[in-house]
Amino acid sequence: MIDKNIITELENIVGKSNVLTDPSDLMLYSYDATQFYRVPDLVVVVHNSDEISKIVKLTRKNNVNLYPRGSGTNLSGGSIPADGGIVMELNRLNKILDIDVQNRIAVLEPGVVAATLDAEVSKKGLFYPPDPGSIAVATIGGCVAEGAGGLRALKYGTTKDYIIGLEVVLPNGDILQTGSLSTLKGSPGFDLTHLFVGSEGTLGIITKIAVKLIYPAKARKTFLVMYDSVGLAGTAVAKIIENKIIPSTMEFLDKITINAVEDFKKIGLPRDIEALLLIEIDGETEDVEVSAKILEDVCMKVGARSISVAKNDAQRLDLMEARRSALPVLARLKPTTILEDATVPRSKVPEMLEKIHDIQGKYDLMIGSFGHAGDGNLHPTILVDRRNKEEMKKVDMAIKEIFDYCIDLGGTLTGEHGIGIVKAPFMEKEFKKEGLSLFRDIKKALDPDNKLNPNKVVGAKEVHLDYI
Amino acid sequence: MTTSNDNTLPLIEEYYEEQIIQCMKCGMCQSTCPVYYEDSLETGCARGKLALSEALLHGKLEPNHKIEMIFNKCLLCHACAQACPVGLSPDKVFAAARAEMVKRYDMPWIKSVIYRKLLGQGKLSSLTGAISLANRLKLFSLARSLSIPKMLGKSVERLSFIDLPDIPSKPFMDRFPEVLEPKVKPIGTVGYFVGCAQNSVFQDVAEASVNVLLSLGYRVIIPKGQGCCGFPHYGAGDFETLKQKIAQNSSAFKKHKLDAIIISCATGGSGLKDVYPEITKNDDITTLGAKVYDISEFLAQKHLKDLKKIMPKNTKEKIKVTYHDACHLNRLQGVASQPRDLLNIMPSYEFVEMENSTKCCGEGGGFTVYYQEISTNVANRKRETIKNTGAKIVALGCPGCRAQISGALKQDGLNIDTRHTVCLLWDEIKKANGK
Ligand SMILES: Cc1cc2nc3c(=O)[nH]c(=O)nc-3n(C[C@H](O)[C@H](O)[C@H](O)COP(=O)(O)OP(=O)(O)OC[C@H]3O[C@@H](n4cnc5c(N)ncnc54)[C@H](O)[C@@H]3O)c2cc1C
Ligand code: SF4
Ligand code: SF4
Ligand code: SF4
Repeated sequence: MIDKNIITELENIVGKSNVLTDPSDLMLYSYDATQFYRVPDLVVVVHNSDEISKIVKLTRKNNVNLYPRGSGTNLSGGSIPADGGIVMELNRLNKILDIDVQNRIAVLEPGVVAATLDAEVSKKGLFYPPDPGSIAVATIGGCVAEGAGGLRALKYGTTKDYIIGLEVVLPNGDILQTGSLSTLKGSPGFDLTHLFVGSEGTLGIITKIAVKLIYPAKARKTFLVMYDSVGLAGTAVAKIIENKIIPSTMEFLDKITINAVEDFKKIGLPRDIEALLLIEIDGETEDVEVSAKILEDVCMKVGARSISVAKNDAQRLDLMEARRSALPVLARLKPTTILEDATVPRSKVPEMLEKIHDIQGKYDLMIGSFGHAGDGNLHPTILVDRRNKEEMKKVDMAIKEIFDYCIDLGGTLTGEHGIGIVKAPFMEKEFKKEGLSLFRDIKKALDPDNKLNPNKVVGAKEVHLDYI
Repeated sequence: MTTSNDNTLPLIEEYYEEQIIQCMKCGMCQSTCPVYYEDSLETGCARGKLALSEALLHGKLEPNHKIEMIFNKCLLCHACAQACPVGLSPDKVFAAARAEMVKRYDMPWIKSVIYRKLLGQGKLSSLTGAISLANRLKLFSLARSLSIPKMLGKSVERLSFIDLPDIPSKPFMDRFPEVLEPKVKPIGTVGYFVGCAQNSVFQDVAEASVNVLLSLGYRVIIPKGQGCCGFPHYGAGDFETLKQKIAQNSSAFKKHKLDAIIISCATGGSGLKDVYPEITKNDDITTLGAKVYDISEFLAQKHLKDLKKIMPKNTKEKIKVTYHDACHLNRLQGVASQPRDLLNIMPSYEFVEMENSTKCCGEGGGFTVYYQEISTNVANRKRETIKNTGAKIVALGCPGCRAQISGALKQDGLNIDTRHTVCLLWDEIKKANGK
């Protein structure tokens, strides 16, 4: 429960209509895309850094937890008010402040939806590459806080590679500017900008973001390649890169996913293939032609069953359809879809998939896998019914096994979805005592009272949440 | 006020529990929701309202009027369904949830009066008696959108915003006989579903539709016993009256042997094609006796060539016309290319696309009254995109959109006409005949 006086003060800062306390409103800020939930005590909708700074000071003084939130599409429990307190909704800070074409920099507020940024800069002939599957709804603030990736990460990198400066409201209410909002280069002091990138709202609230932009490629070519074994597909991925070709996209679908795509979309994929690669290369027109030849050669030599090449934009969209519909079709198989994010060294992808296959048999679960083969970033997608408590227990155990194995292979807990609450218990295994304790020291230095998104990422305390 | 003590919502459960449970909370539905676009609150988008349905279903929240209002915060535009990776139809869940609320709380008296007493009555023609009395109140818009702002204690702004022509003194169905014969030997017999908007306010649409069908050589039957389609009741959660409407229209149309049933109201059409089967678990041929077509769908698919032949020859100058995709035509019926095909064969017009033509205009039954500000903002966005085309006319296929958009245009003093596509077509045919 939030004290009446605090509510009044909040209302004075943001206006009555931006302070939500009705139980039905609160219920709607209890979840994110993990489908876990905890109802907040209050939701405050903010509009600028000044309001945010005042609220941060107010909540800190009164010992109330505060949880930043963008669109609530994260897959780590990051925006859930797991220990009770106030959710701060940031999606109204949604202005693109400047697109500087000459210097190729955009400055924007965190609530701008990623797709909007993408559309606005492309109108000016520029390109912002990070493209998470949730691009149509995720806020840039959320993407920076999660270090979001996407299909183009192999060649173009993830959000963290494009952030050059930030404005952040610190847990003590100070408003800090890091990096630069106007120059691409600069290296004075510690790289505070990248301390906040990927900090998942635990170190400060991002209120302004400067991103670097690039020019879009002139040409591209798209391929769909079928393999009779996951191992062959894995070898193909390795060989392509060995041949110095870095596709902008190199996506993988396993057999369960392929069959689900066929069930719902009937696009004519052979049901007996074990693996499918969607590959796209881009660049200067001549380079693309040359690379395309090599790529086709390599794929066939490794033993592809067949390879389709898009001749025009319409065909490209057809080929993309298999990958685009992967999650949607899996989601239709069962009432509940749990999307995971295991990442292993590229060469270990076949091994990881084999393990996932074993785990699936062991717990009698349905798991379809797809993902960014080039980055070794897999999305094992567990399909269950969350009303079935027994099944959900098995899910917990399966996820634990997947992550343990993933780290044993030299992989990481999350390629792009963040740690939040759901992966916090695995942190020590990945970063060892020393790493985790440094993380905790940093958190303590910035947020000594542990009031900003407490117990996430480096949480000392294990948090258990129920599915909504 | 509560009529039941338990926390479960039987109707929601019965129809849509699976839909509710399958929502994976991914939030993708935020991307297309016109309501969420305006206020960025989770109560706007489908995910929020589905979460609310689930909380009610599992007794985590108690139903109350605040929750009823959240379910009303939806244009039933179906845009969320288009974005949903799981393929859910959240709008249908919300209609069911509203129905549950209606059952629980009974409807506010004003809703009951309009929906049960006026639209719920036997025949369309008897409705008009009441309507002409209330001409100045523009009861159609009230009936369709529940907008009796004064009586609801809201400001009267809304009334001046929605723009409606004066209601003719005689309803369409009193002016036209039940059976109309073409001048030539009939090429077939079609039934015309008038719909209350076309029967009372937008009679030009009914007239044009019937006349175009006649000029193509159809015998047109306008079954006397037909009534309102029932969509307003569906939208407001009154499933009981909806079921009565289905029974009434079924018996009215089944009396005749028809090759097709034609309707020129987008909302009514989606009601007949989409809502009826959901409730009756039968297709339109079983329920109404013939396949249902929207007028532009029917004309473009079956008679584009014939129509081309009866277009005027020497048109001096072309008037720019743009087209607004009504949600209930485009998304619910998949009718999008057909009206454009028709516009493209009309020699007097030059067709230009507007940006975001499929975006809702903000007219959504009770929504328009309960959430005036959002509704108006959505409409104003539509107005800007129309303005940018430089068109002199907006063609469309829905009476609700027409009232809403024409209101938005007039508010800004713009001299842009809103016309049903079939009215433009009929004008062309008349022009060709030198009338
Ligand atoms: C269908 C689907 C597909 C997805 N595909 C991808 C993908 O391909 N790649 C990928 O990387 N992710 C993906 N995601 C995950 C998710 O969309 C991203 O993590 C996204 O960046 C979250 O943005 P958001 O605005 O929803 O943030 P939220 O979920 O609201 O918040 C995410 C985290 O950031 C914090 N936060 C939010 N805004 C701020 C701010 N201004 N300052 C400080 N902290 C803040 C929150 O506290 C929380 O910890 C996907 C999710 C879904 C549902
Ligand atoms: S039907 Fe339209 S208004 Fe209603 S939730 Fe879906 S997208 Fe939003
Ligand atoms: S898009 Fe579909 S599954 Fe995702 S939150 Fe919306 S309704 Fe639920
Ligand atoms: S939807 Fe069309 S037919 Fe149905 S009540 Fe409204 S105007 Fe009448």
